[in-house]
Amino acid sequence: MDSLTLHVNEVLMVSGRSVVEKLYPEMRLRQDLGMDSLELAELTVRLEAAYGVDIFKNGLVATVGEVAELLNAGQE
Amino acid sequence: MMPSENGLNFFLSDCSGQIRFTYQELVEDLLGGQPKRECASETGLLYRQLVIWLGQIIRHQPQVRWPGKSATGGGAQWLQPVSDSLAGRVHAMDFSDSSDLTLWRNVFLHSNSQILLETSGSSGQPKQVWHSMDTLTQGLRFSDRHRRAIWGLTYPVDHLAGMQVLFQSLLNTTPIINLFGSSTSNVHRAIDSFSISHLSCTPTFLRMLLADSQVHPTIQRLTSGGERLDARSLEGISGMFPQARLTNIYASTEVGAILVSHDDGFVIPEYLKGKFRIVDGELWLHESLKVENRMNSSDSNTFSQDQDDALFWPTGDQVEVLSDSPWKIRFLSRCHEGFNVAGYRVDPVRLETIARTHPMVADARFYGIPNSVTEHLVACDLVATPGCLAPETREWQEWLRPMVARHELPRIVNWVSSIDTTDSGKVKRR
Repeated sequence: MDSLTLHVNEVLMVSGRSVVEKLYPEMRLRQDLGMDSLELAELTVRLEAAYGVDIFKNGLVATVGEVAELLNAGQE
Repeated sequence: MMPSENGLNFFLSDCSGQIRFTYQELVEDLLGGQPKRECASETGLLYRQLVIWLGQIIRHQPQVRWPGKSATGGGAQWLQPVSDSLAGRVHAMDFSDSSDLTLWRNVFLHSNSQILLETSGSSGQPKQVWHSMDTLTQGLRFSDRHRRAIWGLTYPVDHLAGMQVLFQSLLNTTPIINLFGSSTSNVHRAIDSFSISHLSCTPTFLRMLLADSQVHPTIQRLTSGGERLDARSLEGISGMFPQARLTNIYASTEVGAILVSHDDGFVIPEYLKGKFRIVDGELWLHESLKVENRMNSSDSNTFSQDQDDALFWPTGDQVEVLSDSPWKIRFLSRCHEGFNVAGYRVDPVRLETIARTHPMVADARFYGIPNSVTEHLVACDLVATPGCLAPETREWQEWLRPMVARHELPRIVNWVSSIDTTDSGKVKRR
């Protein structure tokens, strides 16, 4: 979760927005973190570069927890 | 065989001057059908390829293709020696004699060979186009003045621009210094050590040179083409090349070198007006301009008067009209260099032009990263101005932000030592 936090904050900083100190699995990417399509696109590009997983390959996922699960599944 | 007007008696040299091939050597090898000297360097390989390729042309081989590296190695299929009568005439040539010089040129220009070229591939799959010696040497100049040139070759010879430099030099018996693939510092050194006077290159190559603070007073002619020449580069040229006259060329493998200018715009000559159309900002040309449609005419450099609407084809070049009378256009970018981000079309060439105005950015390449959300995401590679510390990425993005739309802001920024280019020197888009 710590490395995911770093990537999420990278995205938020590019947009000039405040970073988050901690991510919780139930946090929703769009409604709670306020991510729009460009920010989601950047997040998926960064995560794919880092972990080789396209988290949105099968459609948008809603929460931080779902993203973490996909990353973990991709690492196995 | 007399030295050229500039006093340098060689045909081809590498950028250090250590590997050289003379015109005497070239003549012997062309007539004999194979190079006598083994030379395992890039310029040595180029020379061997030229002996085969030019040798095929002077032997009027019906179809001539650029020989691959394997064609020049062990077991290579070298050519048969030319006829005794041709060999006798060429051996006796004195390049200081104008009629002998004409003979030398005609050995090549009168060839019936069709010569295969591939397009640069900077914007799609490479295409194959067959040229004649007429269409390949279109626009070249032969004169005493041109015999004083010392050429820097920055293109691969198997592309149109490289072939034009080769023939411009070869048919005036002037030296060529092979700069293709050399580092920027070696190029600067070679320009000075050889007193190179003529340089033909892409704007991308030029930007790499302009990033360094050097002055080259020996350059008299600078020819640019293949990409849009941006305003910042135009300003930099006069500083680095104070004696140079700029020639900007619009050329393609399909039509050859068709427009020439001395700034970043091109005036469409009267005799070509009916052959040019602009549709939704894209340049369309008439089929009669294609070399394959001119090769069957009695003069490959005149065009039929046919202006049938159905025979125009899209070039993929975005243009803007600078004036209607004279009809003057400026090239903006290749249509398919753009990509979509969240439904918006992004022009990477426009963004690169803006990015290069930052004082600490020497060069930039913008591209789209495919993703499942927005189709592409804008990213860029940046080269820092030599001698400057690259700014913080965030700081640079904040500088850029007011000048671009939100979807155009590069969200992935990489600081690199150089920009990837294609074989012919254009920014690599894929």
